[in-house]
Amino acid sequence: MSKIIDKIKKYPSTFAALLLIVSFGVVIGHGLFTFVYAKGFSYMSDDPLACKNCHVMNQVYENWMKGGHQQVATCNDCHVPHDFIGKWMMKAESGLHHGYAVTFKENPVSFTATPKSKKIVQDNCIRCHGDYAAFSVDATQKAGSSISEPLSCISCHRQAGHAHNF
Amino acid sequence: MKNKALYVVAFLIAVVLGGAMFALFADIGEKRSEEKSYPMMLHKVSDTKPDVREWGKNFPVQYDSFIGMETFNIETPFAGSVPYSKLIRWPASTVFWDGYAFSVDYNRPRLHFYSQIDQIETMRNNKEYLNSHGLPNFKGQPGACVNCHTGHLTAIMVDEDYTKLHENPVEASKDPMPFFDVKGKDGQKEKAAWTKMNSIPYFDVMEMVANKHGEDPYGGSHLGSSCADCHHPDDMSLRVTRPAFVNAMVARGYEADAKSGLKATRQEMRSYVCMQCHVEYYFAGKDSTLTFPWTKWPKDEPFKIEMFDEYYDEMYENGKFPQDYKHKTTDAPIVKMQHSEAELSSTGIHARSGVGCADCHMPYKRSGAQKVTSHLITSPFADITGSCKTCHMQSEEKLKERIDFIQNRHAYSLRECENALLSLIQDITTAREELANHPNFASLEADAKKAAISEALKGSLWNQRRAHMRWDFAFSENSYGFHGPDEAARVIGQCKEYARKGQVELANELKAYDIAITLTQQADEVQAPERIELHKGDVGSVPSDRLQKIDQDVKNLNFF
Repeated sequence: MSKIIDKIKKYPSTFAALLLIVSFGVVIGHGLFTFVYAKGFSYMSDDPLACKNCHVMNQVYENWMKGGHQQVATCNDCHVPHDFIGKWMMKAESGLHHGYAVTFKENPVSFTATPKSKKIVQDNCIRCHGDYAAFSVDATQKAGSSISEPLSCISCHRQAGHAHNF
Repeated sequence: MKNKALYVVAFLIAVVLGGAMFALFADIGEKRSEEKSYPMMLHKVSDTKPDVREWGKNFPVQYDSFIGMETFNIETPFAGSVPYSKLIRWPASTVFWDGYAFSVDYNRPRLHFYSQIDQIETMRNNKEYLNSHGLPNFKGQPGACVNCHTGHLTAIMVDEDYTKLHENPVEASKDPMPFFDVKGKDGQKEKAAWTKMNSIPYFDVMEMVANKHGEDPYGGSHLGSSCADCHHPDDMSLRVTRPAFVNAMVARGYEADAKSGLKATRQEMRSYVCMQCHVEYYFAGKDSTLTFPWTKWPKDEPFKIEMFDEYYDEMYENGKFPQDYKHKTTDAPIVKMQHSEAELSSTGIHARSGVGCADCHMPYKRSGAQKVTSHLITSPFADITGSCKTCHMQSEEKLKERIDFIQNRHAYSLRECENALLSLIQDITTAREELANHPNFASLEADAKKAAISEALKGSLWNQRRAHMRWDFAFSENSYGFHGPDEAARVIGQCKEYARKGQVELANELKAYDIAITLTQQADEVQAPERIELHKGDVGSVPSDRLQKIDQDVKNLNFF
């Protein structure tokens, strides 16, 4: 025992470096484990089960499973932009926001889409249905109207993706 | 030395990161296990132990929200749970209820935690106070009032300790009552207790509970609504426990059930548990049997106000229930409408779309990873996201506007209906004075004179009864029109029609005696009564400045 203490006294900086390496090792190890435990890799995929990792998405998931789009579109098809940079920026941003909300906030049962999210969804409707729907969607009120919001596809086709919670 | 400081800082960073990482790991783990766990009833409860603390041990999250009702105060434009005096806010009601206890004290009720406390404390239940405030003959409320205000009702019916109730049954216990009859022999004993409870004085019943359980509001005589009122102790399934509700529903064509009171789906039950108390009712016969006047309301149909006319007309004709009271100045036989939420809401778009009471008044909440029904039963104004946005996509602000839109219009029409009814009462009062001096009546004894004049004015008094029922239905219903805006508007329209028709009728009736009076168009303003200082806390308080401003805005048509 005294031998070890002598060595520490002799090479203090080597000991400090060693302690530091072990400390960061533990942090990184724990971090990796938590990442795997929290199914971190699933968030890189397009699998709807990744969204359902989080309990607040259960109802939306069930709704989608019963909906008309279930065979042709997953969550990401509607909710994430389809260009490479847009997609991964969105995933990173949502990941941070959602992680924060689930850990620190009491979340309501019903969610409301942010203007940004609504725009992405609208773009994605057009991406698939643009051939025959593009002409009808801009024929309505202007954005920013004080009386009401301009019509978007989901103003009428409310249940296309999932019944509620948007 | 520089190196050393660097090492220390780096080490501390690693410590903080390590701690944070562990906290995150633990949080994820905790939420996952919450998701898997479901409530288990490890703590045995029974009907004879309605103490909410005991039941709450099995369901701590629900219990916490339930107990939240003790301190939760919300003031909405026309309702909420701040117990201000409705008589001070809308004084016309004191004239309509003249001769009845409601004209003396009528406040907004607090939340369900207080349903018994409010009942014990109101001056309507204070014999001496009423006797000295214009109701000298008032003897006190009957035990029938206990029905919906105590969490002990089932215990009172089944507990062997309440021997005073089980022995020497009153006559009403011989009537067929599906709620009890479906239970066979046990049911007959419960029926004896229930019918006896209805007939004895209110405070005698509460005293029996207090002697056995003390007076606290969690398990004693001051306990308002309890878990046992809506849940079965064996498996917490929903049930109805109020005999009058089941009896009335069976008469409409529904089927009684020994365990859950009534055969129904879970979604139906989420309304029925509320409907067993939030209704129009009356006390029938000399045993004051609590009865709902629903036999003219067909099964599975929305309610119409004429169904009450038909029912109460019959009761008037056969003498079984001519009126709740005779109006003090006009002598009209008046039926007081209670809080007819069940009836009005059946006409609303929500109920007709299958939305239950609990969907809006007990919205789902997230507690950690669990989805829990909020047991803090209150106005949807308290949580528009939880209550409305589950179905409606609009913003909270827009949804609030929609409620205001409906309620402001209701309030405006209701004030007009009050003016019309006040005008009628004013004119009948004048007419009675005129007739009292007429040779046909002048020489009669006081009582005979009163009866003869009432007979002469029969038609207009009947119109007062009709108009009053409609005003009271719209006024005493708790949602200020929201539960069924279309039917509420129709009912208020009829209130005005009957009141004005009553004036026409009156002019015709007076013509037979060659008397002409100037009919009132704009009634005299009614002065607000003094605040009753005997109440504790905010009970019977003067409505806030905000509410008074809302009333002014409504009066001046100053709404969107």
